[in-house]
Amino acid sequence: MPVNKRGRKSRPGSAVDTPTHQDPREGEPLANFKTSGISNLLDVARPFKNGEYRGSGRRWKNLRQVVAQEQQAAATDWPVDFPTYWAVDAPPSLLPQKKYCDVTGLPAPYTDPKTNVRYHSAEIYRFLRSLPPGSEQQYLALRNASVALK
Amino acid sequence: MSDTRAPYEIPDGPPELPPELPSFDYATMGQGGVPLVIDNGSDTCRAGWATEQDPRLEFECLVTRYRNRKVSADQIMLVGSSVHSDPMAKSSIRSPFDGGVVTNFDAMEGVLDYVFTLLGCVEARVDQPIVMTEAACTPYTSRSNMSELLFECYGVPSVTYGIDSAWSLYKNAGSFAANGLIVSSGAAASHVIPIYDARVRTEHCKRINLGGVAMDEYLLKLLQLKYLAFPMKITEWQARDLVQNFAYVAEDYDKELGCYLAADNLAQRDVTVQFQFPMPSLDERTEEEIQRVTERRREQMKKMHAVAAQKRQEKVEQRARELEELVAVREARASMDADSFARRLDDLGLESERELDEAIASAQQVVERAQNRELGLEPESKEAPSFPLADVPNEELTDEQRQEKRRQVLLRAGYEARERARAEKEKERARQEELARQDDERRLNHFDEWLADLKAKRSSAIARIKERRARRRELSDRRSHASQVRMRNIADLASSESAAAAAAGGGRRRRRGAEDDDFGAEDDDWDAELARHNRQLSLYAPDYLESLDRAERVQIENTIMYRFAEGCQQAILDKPAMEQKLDNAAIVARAAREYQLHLNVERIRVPEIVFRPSLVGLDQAGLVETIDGVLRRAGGQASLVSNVFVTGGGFARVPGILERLERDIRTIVPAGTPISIRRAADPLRDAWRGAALWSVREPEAFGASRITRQDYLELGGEYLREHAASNRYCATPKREGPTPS
Repeated sequence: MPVNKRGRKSRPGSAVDTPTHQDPREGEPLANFKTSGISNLLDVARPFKNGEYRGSGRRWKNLRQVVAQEQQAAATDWPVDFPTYWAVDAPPSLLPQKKYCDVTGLPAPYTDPKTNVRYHSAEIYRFLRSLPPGSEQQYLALRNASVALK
Repeated sequence: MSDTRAPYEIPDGPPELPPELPSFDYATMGQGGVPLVIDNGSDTCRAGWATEQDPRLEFECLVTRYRNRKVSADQIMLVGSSVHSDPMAKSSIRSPFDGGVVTNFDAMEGVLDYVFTLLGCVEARVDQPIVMTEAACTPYTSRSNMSELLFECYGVPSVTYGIDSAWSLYKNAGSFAANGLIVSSGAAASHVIPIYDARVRTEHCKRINLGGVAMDEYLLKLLQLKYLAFPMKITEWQARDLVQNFAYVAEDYDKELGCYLAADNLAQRDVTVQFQFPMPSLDERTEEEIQRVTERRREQMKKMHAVAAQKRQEKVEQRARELEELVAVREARASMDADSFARRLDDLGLESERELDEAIASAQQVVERAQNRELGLEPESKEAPSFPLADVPNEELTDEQRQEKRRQVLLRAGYEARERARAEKEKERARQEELARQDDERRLNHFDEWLADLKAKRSSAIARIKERRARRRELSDRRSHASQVRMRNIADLASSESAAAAAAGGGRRRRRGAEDDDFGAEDDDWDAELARHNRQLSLYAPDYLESLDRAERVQIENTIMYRFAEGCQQAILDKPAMEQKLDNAAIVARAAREYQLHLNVERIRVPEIVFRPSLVGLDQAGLVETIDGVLRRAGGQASLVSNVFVTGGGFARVPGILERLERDIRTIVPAGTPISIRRAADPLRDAWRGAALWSVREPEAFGASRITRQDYLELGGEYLREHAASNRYCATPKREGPTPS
């Protein structure tokens, strides 16, 4: 079993990922916690658990990996109208999108051609000009339109 | 412009709760196979017995497993809101969910352990049928892992899966008979699910990947950008608290936005949020006390002066005694032989008669000066020292005299230089005095003219300061016009020889020329100039400065940015022309104000993301457009909108959502279609209550929907028995060979 030694860099998720071999059925009986309440769950005996169960080598995957794997495994075989997780994603909007000011949220008739920031009025534009160059990216990041230089 | 509402004082974090107590009635409650209902929401998990009204347990769906070596070497596992109790646990807090779907089954195991332990299960396995919610159209992997966990780890006899929002509808409608539309808003995702022919139709459902969490995150980002220099860290919990308390959906977004531009409307809608702030140190003394303190200080000064004068006096007396002695020695010279005189000198620490003379002269000078000071006399101007040998030609002098002449020439040069400098200084002072006098005269005789002049000077100083600031900003950008001109000048200088020669040769000296003083080269010069003008104006025309301040405040207060950031309160100027003295209450108010946020446009801007996901850059249709799409896919049944049911922990609770939905749905259905929209009685708990109610009240459907251990073993973990509130199942297409993981 890969024990997470001190000092070794741990993978995200590993703290919960690595189950200990300590038998969950051992521990103090539940009755001892009648008045104190339970904080550390590992102190309590959990006799209802199957001590042999190890989670059959499952690995922690994020949702995107799960969906991609499932999509790939049976790409052609799902019935056409079967609602799979990826099939029920709402499609992109077909309506024209109104533009709103990135700073104030008010309707934005203007766009700065240099930075692509949308703004409501000359006052907001003056404010944007007063910012140090590059910091308008934070405003763009709000609507996921920032340019990430790597 | 009055803001009478008290600020909302936001707590630092959630109130700390004691650890939950386990219940011990598992055996009696579970008799006869009473189902255990678990509403497995990505934000909150609720669990309890189907026969009861409300869930026994309700906790944040978070798990942390860590070691705290200070306490013990053993692992610690915390579940629920207690994960926040130990800062050590923070980095290993995990949620079983990712985007509304269970993906981390180690965390899920922790959550289920917690549920069964707190419900008091002490048997060898969990021998109760389980009723559990799952996300609409959940991936098979997720369900199969969940079934595996339930059957193999806990040994449950059967499990029934269903969609949370469908059960919430059951709780509120009592059946699945009515056709309609479920609008479900979770923490991570929102769904639109049609329901007809007495069952939910997930095949026509659509999901928008936005939920309550997205709103909290959006508000947090907005506030961080709005208050770049806010002295506190705004936490996620606080953002969530603000969304829950103050967000509302605008019925007409653009119109409502326009409302925020008018001051009185803004005052009505603006919310002041007060964070905890450190109390400023205050001067609590009264006027009388302050006076007493200054009085005492003055007394002390006087005493010190007296002591110093005494000391000086003593010193002078000492010198006078020394002088007397020295004079006596010189007078006794005549009556002494050379040897005894030399001994006498030696006793006094002197070497020759000349030194004696010098000592007498200096002592005389000191005493004289002291006496003069005592009598209040000016030291009479000393006659200019004479340099008799300086102008005599060298030929007429002996060697010794020549040496003496060289010395005198040097002394004379130094003396003359000093005299010149003094004269210069004198002249400058006289000039300044004359200027001040003229200024005063002008002020007294032609006050208006004088004042106009001063105002003009002041505004020109301000203009200069602004100009310099603008130039500095321009220079900071490499591509600006100013910096390009500067670079060109530098390049020209480097290339032209004459300029180089001038720079090497006379440049420095020229710059030091008398007329060209370097006033204005530094920013401080202009600040000092402005301060000088301000001082004069505050003496002779305080009204003018006040009016300037007022005008500047009005100008600031009228900007949109200021109003949104600070509400309708008076602006605080960075550099007021008129110095203000603050009393203690004002100091406290100002300190509190630094720790205040104002929520205004954000109140509608945040929930609006559900209707316009493009606001947060999500490329999906908004809620109403999605509803439109779902209606079309469900066979154009516009009649479904006569029964729209809104539930869930996300936007469902935001005020105004129903009105907005009704208004917008009217635009997508044929005119005259009856529209009815309602919200679940309790959007948070009704899913659990509905599941409990359904499993008790519809034993037939419940019995048919139970996936037994047998099913699990024979048909695989993803197997699902469909029922009215469930997802759809279709046997997984056979895979060819083992899939690479």
